[in-house]
Amino acid sequence: MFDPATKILIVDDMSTMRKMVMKTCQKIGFTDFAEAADGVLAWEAVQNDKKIGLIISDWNMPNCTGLDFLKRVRADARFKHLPFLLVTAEAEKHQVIEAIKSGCSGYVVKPFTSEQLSGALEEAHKRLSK
Amino acid sequence: MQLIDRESYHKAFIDGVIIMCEVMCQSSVQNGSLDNKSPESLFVVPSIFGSIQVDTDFEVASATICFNQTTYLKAMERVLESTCDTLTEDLKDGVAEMMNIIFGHAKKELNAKGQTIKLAIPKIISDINNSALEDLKINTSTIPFQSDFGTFHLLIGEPIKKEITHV
Repeated sequence: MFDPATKILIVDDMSTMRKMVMKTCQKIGFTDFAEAADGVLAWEAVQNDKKIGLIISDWNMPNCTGLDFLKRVRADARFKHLPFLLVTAEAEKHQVIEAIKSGCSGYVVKPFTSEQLSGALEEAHKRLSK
Repeated sequence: MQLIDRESYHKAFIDGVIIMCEVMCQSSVQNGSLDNKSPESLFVVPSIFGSIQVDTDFEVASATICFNQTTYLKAMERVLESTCDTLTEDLKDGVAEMMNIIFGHAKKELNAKGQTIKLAIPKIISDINNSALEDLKINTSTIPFQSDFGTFHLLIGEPIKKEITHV
């Protein structure tokens, strides 16, 4: 599992959802967070904050979607292995396939419990450790 | 051409509300029966609406979740696990997230049955005088829901066939 000291960047255009994800992560044991309201701001945060060790990003956002943000992160060699979890309310099969092909470490479907998020993080950690 | 089957359409959204409420608001919820008319009272009391367009290749419809402000604040207290006394700008977007989750569930269910519902972003309406609410008073069915934190409604704008232009 990820070290609880890992700094998590939470990306969502809805502040309520960012708070919800943060609360859920706190229940799992994480304590250090950064927030961004869209993919553009999130990309700036990733480049400027070297402590960020995990990204949890919404998929469906205006301006820059979570998938576009993921592609931008993976296109930069510095962040090729940065753990990236996508959060989506619409886990249709073709979306999941596209996310995995684009280098997503894992995904979780909204709404989720802390157990479900913890499970998705564990899966992502295992995948990255291989 | 495949039009949305009304029964599946309503069920997909009702199931979405139930899942959203159970997980996000940690509350059991019971839906009432569908009423083919939007209650006028929804558009009088201070309410908050989260609305989304349901757009397929052949039809366009809408779905809207509606809370009176007191019930909404109680729901948000459950979502955020903290006290919510006032409807701040920050709190308002929770209603859009709720609608997003309901829509996501319905879209997945209906598209698995051959529909072509496209991705959409929900909008928030918290001003009772907003002209967008006029659209919700016509061609809209209402389903009441009873939860641990109060009663709220799902407004389902019935699908309207798109005009297909042949060139």
